[in-house]
Amino acid sequence: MRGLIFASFLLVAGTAHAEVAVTDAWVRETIGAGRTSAGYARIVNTGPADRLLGVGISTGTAEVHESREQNGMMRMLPVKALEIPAMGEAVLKPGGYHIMIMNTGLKRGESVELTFTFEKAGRITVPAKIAPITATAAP
Amino acid sequence: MTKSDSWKGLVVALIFAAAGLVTYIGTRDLQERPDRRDFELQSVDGRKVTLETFKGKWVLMFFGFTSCPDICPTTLTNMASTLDAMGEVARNVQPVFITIDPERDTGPVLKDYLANFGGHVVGLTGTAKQIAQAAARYQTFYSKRATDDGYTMDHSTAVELISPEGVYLRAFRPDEDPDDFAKELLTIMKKAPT
Repeated sequence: MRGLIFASFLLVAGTAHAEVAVTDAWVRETIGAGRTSAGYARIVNTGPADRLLGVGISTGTAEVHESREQNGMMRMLPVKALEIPAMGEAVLKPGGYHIMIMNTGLKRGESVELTFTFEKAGRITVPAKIAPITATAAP
Repeated sequence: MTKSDSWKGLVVALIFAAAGLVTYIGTRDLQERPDRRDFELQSVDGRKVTLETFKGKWVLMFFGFTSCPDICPTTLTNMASTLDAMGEVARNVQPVFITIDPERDTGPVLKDYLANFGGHVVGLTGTAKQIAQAAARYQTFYSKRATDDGYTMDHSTAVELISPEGVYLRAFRPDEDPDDFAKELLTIMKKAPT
């Protein structure tokens, strides 16, 4: 019996990553020779508090940034770790937290892969649709 | 009426007269010196563009740069949705995008980029000095900041409204809800003398 309890504990620990899910991931197309863009997603956490440590992309480079107003100017500042509250969510959306994408052209209609690295939940890779530059929400 | 009472009466009368004069001068000042903020910039095909160029149109002005990943496309999209929400009257509104990054945003780059936002945004560029002057007049700050792969621009993101007579009216937040923004603009436009 004790063994069974221990085994089920292991099972729970082993599936801990399932408590964090990344949904509605999308990125904006680049225009002409443009090589900079932004990506967004919703991170839903049904477990204990976690932290997003970074995001990778299948083409080019990516960093988690925040658009923040300072001294009357909007600045985009790198975010070292984004808190994902327990039983809550963090939303990356236009005008706030976003994934800054550099060094790549992105064509509307195609998709890329985004890999989110969490402190506890580990790595989660999701496909992200490339939406028109005028998109303000997941296509 | 005692002597001191009449003195008080005189003082009160003088105060009212002074207040009236101040109000009169204040209003006259407003009427005679409208807040015109001239600028000289260049169109995407190299022609000279000034405040006068937009006479007769309501101007919605925004300073940004095309390699801006988050705020600029969002603001331009918001402006396009706002114009859509305004309906027919939107014909009298000219959205204008002024680059603060003339080094990368050449005329053709600006033109291609802006074509995606409803097709009627006028793109303006200029020499570094011309852009700095225009920005300063519309309380827009910007600065270049080095990044791992080059540089980015920090910048003010307000959307500025100019009347058909070229008078600067006010600034709006870039993330204003398009429907609310449209209503506010329509209210301002209705109040304006025609």
